[in-house]
Amino acid sequence: MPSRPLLLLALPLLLLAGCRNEGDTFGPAQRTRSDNTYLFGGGAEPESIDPGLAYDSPGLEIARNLFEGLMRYDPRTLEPLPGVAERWEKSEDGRRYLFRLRPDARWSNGRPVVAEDFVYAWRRVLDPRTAAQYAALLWDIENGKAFAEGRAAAEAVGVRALDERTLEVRLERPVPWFLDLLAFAPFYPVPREAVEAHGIRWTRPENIVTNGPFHLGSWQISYQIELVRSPTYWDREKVSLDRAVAIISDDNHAMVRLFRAGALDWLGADNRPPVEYLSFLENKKDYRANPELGSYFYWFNLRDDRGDSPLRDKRVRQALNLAIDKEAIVRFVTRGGERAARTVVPDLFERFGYRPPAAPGHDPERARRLLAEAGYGPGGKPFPTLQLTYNTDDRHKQIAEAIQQMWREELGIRVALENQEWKVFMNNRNEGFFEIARAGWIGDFQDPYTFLAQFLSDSEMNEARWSNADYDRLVREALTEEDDARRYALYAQAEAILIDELPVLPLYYYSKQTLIGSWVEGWYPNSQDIHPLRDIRLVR
Amino acid sequence: MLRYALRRLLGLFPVLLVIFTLSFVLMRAAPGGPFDAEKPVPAEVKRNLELKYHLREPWCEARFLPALREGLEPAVERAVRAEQPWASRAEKLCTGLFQYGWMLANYATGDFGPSYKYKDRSVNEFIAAGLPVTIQLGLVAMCFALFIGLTAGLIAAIRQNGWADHAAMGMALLGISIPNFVLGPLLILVFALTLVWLPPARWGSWEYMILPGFTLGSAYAAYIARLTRGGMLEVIRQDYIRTARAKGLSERLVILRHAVRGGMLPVVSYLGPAMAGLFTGSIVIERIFNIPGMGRYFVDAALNRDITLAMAVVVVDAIFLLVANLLVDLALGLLDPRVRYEE
Repeated sequence: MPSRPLLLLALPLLLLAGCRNEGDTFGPAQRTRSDNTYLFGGGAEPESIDPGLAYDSPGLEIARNLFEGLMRYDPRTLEPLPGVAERWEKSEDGRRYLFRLRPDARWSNGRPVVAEDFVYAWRRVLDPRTAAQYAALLWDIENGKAFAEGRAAAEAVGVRALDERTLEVRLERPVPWFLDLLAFAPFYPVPREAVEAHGIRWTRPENIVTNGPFHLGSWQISYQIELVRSPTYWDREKVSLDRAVAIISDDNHAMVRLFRAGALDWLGADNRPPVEYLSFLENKKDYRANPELGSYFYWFNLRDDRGDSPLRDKRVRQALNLAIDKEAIVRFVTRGGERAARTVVPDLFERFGYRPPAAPGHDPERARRLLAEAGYGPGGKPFPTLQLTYNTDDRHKQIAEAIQQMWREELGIRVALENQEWKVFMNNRNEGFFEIARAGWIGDFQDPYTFLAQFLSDSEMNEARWSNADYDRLVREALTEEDDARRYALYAQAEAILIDELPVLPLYYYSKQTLIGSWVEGWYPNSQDIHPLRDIRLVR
Repeated sequence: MLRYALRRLLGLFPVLLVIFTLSFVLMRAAPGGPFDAEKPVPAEVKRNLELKYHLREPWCEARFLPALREGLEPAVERAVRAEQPWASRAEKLCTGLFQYGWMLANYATGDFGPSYKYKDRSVNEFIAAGLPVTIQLGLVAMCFALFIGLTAGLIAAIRQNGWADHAAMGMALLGISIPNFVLGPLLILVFALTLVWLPPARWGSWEYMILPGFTLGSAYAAYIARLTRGGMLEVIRQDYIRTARAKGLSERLVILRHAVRGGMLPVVSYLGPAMAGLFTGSIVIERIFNIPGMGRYFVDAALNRDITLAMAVVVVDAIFLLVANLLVDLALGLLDPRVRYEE
């Protein structure tokens, strides 16, 4: 027992010692290990690392480094670079592609990667029996949707092997970002021999066959996933790491501690420093905050069964939007480099030439006028108490409380906050049991369409059940427009309707905060937080 | 005694069935399903998933809601269900019964079924990976608790009302009152981040076990110290101890051979509930120290609506606790001559 009194006496002293003057890094200034093994945070236990089934970001991250599609990501810009495809041709109408596979692409069992592997993999993702959650991304392939719904045979799907090294792809309509998609997991090839021999067990280290820069060394549940450099990868000379280990944990506090102790080289894409660390980390050299391809917003419920809701009046929604000081929210509440949002499409497409429509900023004066026009406020109807729902989380709570206060002070509107456990929240939002509900949206690929699609009238993701024929027409027109400038012009027109009508209240664009050791090279900040391991080097 | 043990062992099965059924009903009753996500999957895909995991039963649909077979769109399905609320309920009950039967049949063969969330894995693999770690953590914590608790309790009893007694009981009070989610991070701050003696998180060789084991065990050490002290003080005043002393035995022998055996009884009967506490307490400890045990699935699997995994964790824990309690009862019989296993 003597250890405990001693310990308690020593505690205050040690705590003081803990507050000593800090260096300019949060983790160690120098790497504490000398092996060529890269340790990074892997987030939660992946649902699946099978490229066809992977759905959550930890699983996609592992799949991305084990397998390689026709295209792969440029580590800086995320533009598609040739992967298994050596070169390709696109037809005039943008609906037919011919890919020539490189002769030296190999599976880890030594077999060459052939066109038939892609045919098998893509049909497998579409096959209803596979129940792949990303199947819809392949519906733009000719007869893809028909096959997925059982209306066409697998052979009718528009992907064919003309010979071992030539793959022909036919699309239902031109898809401007099709090459970008090819770097995404559902489009990777899978080894038929392993999948058919082992069933769901084919992704185990002892069974798996891969064609990417890394091979699966070991996979310990909720503990770690070890990737080992593949000796059969065609570009193996460029791969610098011997091993990479994803440390599995969704506990950000534990991961930040591991980083501080030098047990991680990178905090990982699926772990982030807890918000209470952010102001402390701000000036550290190993801390980064980068714009992320994501939006944080609130849905207004405009469904027909909410007939008398004041939210169905556009002016009320505009007033609620104008009354919020979003700058204050990103500066004092979220604090991680987020940008206040006036629109739904994040501010990351401007470098490609997207010109977002003009949108009003914080203007409480105008907000009060609009509310009075709508018949509320002094001399008008009393405004009913609004119900704001979010999923249980400290950050969401703080944001909701800030907004609650702003609406009360600027507009005199009372808001009741309600937090719900995640699945309950999702269920209520999908079924329309809410008045105002939180939402976040992370883009799947580099085109505004990935954000705008959810507001189409027939979209299942359109929680507001907002419907606007002009909007639908503009977005659909843009969908097949291959010329970037014209497509972006159409998107901007569509978005102008969106921010006038406001079925959602945009709050901010996400930012990704992370910690990365100064000894890591080849890690470039980018909007989807994708950092291929084949490009990572450890120096010193 | 063998008959008693066998009877108790057989008695576990109805208890487990009740636990299984209750947790199944609760999991089914919770709103939201395993395949609801911020990015909803297309209706066709979701339907396929639900069929694959027995959340939809074609026979039940055909029997109670024939309209559903055609209407794949969620909006259509919602409308159909709203129109025929009773048929919809009957269909859900029917599907639930099918799922219940499917899981029960699996359990009978020792198979916990596929995980609803982790598509590459069966639930058995999660249990096989997590249970040994949780047991290991529990044992380390139990060792800490017993060692510290018994020593402190004995010293306090022997030196009743002396400074050692007050110090030990003061510590025990602290140990009981400081929650482990406060103690854990404090210990990490001191021993892992400031002194850098021990790793700050994860699991592995013995260094990894010290902080989580101590954190988890501390509250139990405190209870055990108090129980030992109380038990010992009661026993020391008994006639048979006076007899032992009168026979001229040394105080050491009197305490260690005669008093301890009786004084331990409250501690032993406390070990059963303590096992339960160690198991449920490890949920928090496993999170703080990022330990790949089974405790985390208690919460995570339920939140993910991963029905099979959540239920397996509950059932495995129930088995563990029931067996632990049985062992404690048997041990009491060996230690305490007053306990008899007669009808």
